[in-house]
Amino acid sequence: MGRKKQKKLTGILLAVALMIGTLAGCGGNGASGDGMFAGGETGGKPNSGNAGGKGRFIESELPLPEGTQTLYAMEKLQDGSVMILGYNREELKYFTAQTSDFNGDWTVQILDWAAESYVAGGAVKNDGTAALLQVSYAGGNVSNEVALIGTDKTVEMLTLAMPENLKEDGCRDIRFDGAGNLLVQTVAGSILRADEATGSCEVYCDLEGGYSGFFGVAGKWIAAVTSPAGIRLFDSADGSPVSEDALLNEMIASDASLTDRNSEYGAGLAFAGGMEENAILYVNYDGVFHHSMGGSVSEQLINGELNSIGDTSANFLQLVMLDEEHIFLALIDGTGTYKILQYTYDKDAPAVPGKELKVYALKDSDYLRHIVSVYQRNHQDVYVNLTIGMSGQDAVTAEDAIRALNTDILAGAGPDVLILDGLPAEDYVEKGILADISPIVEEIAEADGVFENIVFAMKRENGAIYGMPTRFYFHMAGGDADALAAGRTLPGLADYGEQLKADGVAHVFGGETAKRLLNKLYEAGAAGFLAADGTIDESALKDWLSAAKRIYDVDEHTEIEVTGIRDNSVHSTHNMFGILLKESRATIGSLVSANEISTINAVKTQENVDYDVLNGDGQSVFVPYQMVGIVNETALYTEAEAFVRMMLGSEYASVDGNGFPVNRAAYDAICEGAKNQYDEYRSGGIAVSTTEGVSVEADLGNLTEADIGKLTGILESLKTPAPTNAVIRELVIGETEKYLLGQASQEDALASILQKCRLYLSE
Amino acid sequence: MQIVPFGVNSGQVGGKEFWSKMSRKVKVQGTKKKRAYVGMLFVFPGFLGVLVFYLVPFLDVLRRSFMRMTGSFCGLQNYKTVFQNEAFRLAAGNTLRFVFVCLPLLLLLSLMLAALLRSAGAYACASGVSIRRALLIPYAVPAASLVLFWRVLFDGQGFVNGILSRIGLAGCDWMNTKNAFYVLVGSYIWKNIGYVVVLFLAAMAAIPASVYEAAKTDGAGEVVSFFYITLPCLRSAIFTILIISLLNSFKVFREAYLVAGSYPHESIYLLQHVFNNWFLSLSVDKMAAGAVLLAIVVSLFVRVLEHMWEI
Repeated sequence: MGRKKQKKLTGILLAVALMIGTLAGCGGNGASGDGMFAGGETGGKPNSGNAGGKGRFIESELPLPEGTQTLYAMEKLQDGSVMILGYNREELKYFTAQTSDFNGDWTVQILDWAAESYVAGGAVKNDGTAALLQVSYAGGNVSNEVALIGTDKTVEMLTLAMPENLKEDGCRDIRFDGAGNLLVQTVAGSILRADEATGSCEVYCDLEGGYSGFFGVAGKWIAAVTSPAGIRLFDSADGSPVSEDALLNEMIASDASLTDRNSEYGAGLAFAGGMEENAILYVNYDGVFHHSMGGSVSEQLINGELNSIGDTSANFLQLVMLDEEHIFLALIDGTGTYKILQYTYDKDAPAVPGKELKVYALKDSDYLRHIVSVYQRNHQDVYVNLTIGMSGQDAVTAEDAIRALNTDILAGAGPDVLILDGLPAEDYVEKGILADISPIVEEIAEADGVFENIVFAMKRENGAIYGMPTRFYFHMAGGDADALAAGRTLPGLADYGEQLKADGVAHVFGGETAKRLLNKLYEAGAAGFLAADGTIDESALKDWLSAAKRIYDVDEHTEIEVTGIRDNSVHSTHNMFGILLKESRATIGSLVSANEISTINAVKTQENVDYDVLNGDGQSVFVPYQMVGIVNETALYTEAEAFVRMMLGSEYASVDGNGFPVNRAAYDAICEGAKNQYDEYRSGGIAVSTTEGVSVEADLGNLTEADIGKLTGILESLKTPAPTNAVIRELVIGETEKYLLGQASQEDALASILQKCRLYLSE
Repeated sequence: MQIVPFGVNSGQVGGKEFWSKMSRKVKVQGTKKKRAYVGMLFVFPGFLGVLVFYLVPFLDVLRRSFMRMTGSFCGLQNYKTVFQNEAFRLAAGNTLRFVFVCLPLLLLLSLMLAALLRSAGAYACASGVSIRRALLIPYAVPAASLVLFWRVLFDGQGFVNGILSRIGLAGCDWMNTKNAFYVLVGSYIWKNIGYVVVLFLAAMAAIPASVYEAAKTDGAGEVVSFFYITLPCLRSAIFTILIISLLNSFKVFREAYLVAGSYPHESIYLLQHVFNNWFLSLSVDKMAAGAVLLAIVVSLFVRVLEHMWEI
């Protein structure tokens, strides 16, 4: 080749390279393996490796024996059947049940045994025997007993003889390992082996002083999940430690919520033995994985995004691999229902569902994930791509997330369903982005009934509804009669606090940080100074600023924000127990569940307190939560409608917590549950203590008709939605925080708020 | 067309013979078409980038500026809305004010500094590289770091107020008062002056020392040399620097945004704030009209400058 040709070729190659380099950024955002997308977190299109191909595990529910209230354990037996151990609410007895056809036909055997104290856990061995752990703390003496259930279902009691240094420890979990050893874990985390003949216990897995939140059995290994986050593995045969598995450690380290487990309510992680000797199976919210020990990669067998596994409100109890095509998962879902989910490999099913319904939410929520997983199970042909704008795993701000969302909307690649909390909902309505969902709301209203006051508040003048909260909550004032009377207005509450301070009361409202206090006061009182069109009443704002400052100044504050807590739910923010602990005389915060009335009642048994709505400016304000809307131009309107219907429907909205459902039937179901939550067999209590060692205990009880009546009356009286405009909220709270902290005068804060809001409104 | 070396008037330097040779050389190269194709191939990717990332999107913006959000044609309504928009008018006024305060100030200060450095000979000596690096440091400081520094300095309880209170003067919340504008101007000047000085020094370096020596022989002093040799020779350079500084002045939004967010004090509420906030509220119609207006104004400004510079 001549020199000229060489030069020419080099020139062309370089030009092509430059061109490719220039256009490299043009690639679509697509779905990356790590799930990052547009500044947020998403599953992207499920990355199953054979996307577009065939073959996937299909989820179905294996019906539990009639009357099952609690499920303690599940195991595959040597004969290939599956056995469970549970508690039957109709018989009020413990039972074992066995199935071989996996169609819901169980051979149930009721045990002739009644627990004398708290049953902390249960275990099933692969030979058909089982065990229940019974723990008693009566009289300050700790007693750990195991009810050994033989294959003939006879029960023998075994008192555990704890090692000398662990005599004060109660046990919290029980399991059989791969070698057939009976293992128990103490509350302090020690893993002991119990001699089934004598009850003698010895430390089996040496954690070398570390703490284990829970442990699981994975084939021939015992996996102890430890804190600091990691997994320590032990050989079942002799309890000796085996080398750490970096990948398992990494998985735990990436999600601190996986490190703790409640023996009754499970955890976000469960283990099982794999089909090969050197492999294990584990499940987390991402799916079910097959992992060869020591390997650097885990193979995803089941994608959690396509079924109930991705529901972060659920907790896993036990994972069992029957064979290569059948996997069972016992769990307790977000509604508190125990379930066994069966995953069967269908080689003809498309690896990825053909339709993709995009759901966007600015913040993650267990409730939303629960709905997504249920929808996914009921619509196997639809893949719900839930995108979370602010995953909390990165530094993405609300603005960044909204910018990315708007880019997608403008590019025609936006979501089909929007969870409008924190989004510029009014702008979307104004720009015609959102569809009128009033027909769905009317349909729900006819079928189940709704809180008419909430629906009315969300209706436009033309009757259209563009965004409908599926749940709502309100801010309350708690305390004595004076506090409740004062809570009708913020200035009244400030007067009340100042009076107590003048009387020498050291702790009045509990001394929250300025930001936390302002979040509540804004939601409770902003409707008083903020008109629907966003304009601000200067005089009312000034009054609100004064009241907020006065309330803040009543107490001393440390201004230390607690961070790092996984926050996927809306929480109650009142602290009635602070009154019992003498940390406050009154409390302000949100009331988000019927269950909380139980805790308020528990406080009422010891202090003359009650609760009522905190009215910022005489308004009856509710806070909309999980406000859902459908994007007008979606190509999957029917599927989006079905999703919204499910969010608003009674079947899946009847979960207590995360606010009260707008659906009346769901609310009634919650109330009915709260009236019958405790009986002679199930009791509840709360014990809280301060860092100074002051502790108080209180029993929880069922709600009465009067309790329900009062709560319902309050919920029906709420008329004004708390302002949802995130921009004005940030502007007002940001400037007011400076004022509360003494970094700005009231005049400056007021002027700054007015100037910035004027700018916003003039845009 | 007259070929003019950077910063030097052809009539003063080089001579006709030199340019005549250069011209012939270009003609000879022009006949080698194959080489020219290779050259065009090298230019093509860059042009493609501009086409894909700027020209085509701008055409889409132009189209959208005449349409409602729903996609229907609305004529000049969006432009009317933008002109009537109080926030846009405020931001446009602030941006113009910022440009007209900053650009002359920046050019003047950097030219003076460059002239001083050149006359002191510091730039040409061994430590010249260090000086150049030092001058470029502010330009290289990331906006996020600068913002942290700002906060330490100009917070209501910051360093500046601390000093003021020590000498008995009252401080203020700098970023929440009209002073925010001057803080922004100061920041822009500080950040860009070194870069512009380096550009000026590079342009000054292209002026042959013999010209100054000849002037000195004729009795011209430093001041006379500056006004009659340096300044005329920097004519083209000043045009380039002016355009670069104008474009850089739009980047000051980063600092303003990071310090004071989407809604800063109204004195530093710039056009980019409006565009940013319009995008968040999905006001694409207004944003498109505003962008077209801005493009027109910048183009006119450049054309006026070209006219003034007779380019």
